[in-house]
Amino acid sequence: MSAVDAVPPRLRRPTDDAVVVFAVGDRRFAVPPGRVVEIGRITAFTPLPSTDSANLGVGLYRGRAVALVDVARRFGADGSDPAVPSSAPPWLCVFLTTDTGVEGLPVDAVLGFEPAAGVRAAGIPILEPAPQEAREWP
Amino acid sequence: MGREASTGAVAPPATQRYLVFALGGVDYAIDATYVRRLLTHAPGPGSDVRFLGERYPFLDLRALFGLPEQPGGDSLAVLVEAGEERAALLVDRSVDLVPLDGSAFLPVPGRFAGRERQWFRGLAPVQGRLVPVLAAEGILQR
Repeated sequence: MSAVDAVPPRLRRPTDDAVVVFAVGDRRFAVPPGRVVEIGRITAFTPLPSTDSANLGVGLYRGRAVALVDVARRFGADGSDPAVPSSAPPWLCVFLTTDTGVEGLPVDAVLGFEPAAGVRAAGIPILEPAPQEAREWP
Repeated sequence: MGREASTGAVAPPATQRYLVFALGGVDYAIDATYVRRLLTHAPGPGSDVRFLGERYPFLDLRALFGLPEQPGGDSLAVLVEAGEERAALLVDRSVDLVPLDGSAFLPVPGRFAGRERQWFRGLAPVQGRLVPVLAAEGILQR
């Protein structure tokens, strides 16, 4: 069973518009905290063939099969350069709620909360909020 | 199936035997009831295999799954039959024949919404990892 890594400890949002910033290699991405279901670690990754190049495969987490996706290709423009941790699994993952259920984004590090305005000014992509925000696994 | 390991144990009703094979570094499983034969010297692409009077067209799973070609090396042909459809699946190697409980299979996540949905019955949790289970009918329909 995958262990939930204590990364990071419970954080206090500095402002109401703060977003969660994470890193994949030297690239930064951000997501509204309302979309984050959990941050944890996938210990075993299985590639799965897919017609969608954003889909990396699946991982077993909390007894569920979770889709693992390339954050850049999932939420960026078509043809985005892939953004996947350079190291082999286990991977730290940000689990998000999306229109197709909970998805895991393998990342190198979760950097914490930052004001959205500053994140935008730095040119860091912010993933859009889901139509229905949920903080729990369905 | 040509050869079948005998454990001497009686499997519970929900458990079936699955052939686990490797392809591109990933283990996949297929219900052994669909498997007719394993050929250790696989024919090349574009060839057909004849077994017990039936024709099994060659099916390159690497090409179907969009995996890189494997330069040289040995491969294995798994002769499968589902209804009136037959094919010789080219894989890297056979791993094992294992009992799996179909009721424990996890669904393929909804993110996988393309043709791949017809290829897999589900995902078998095996020793902390997930093994994709082929849907023989879906695979044979390409």
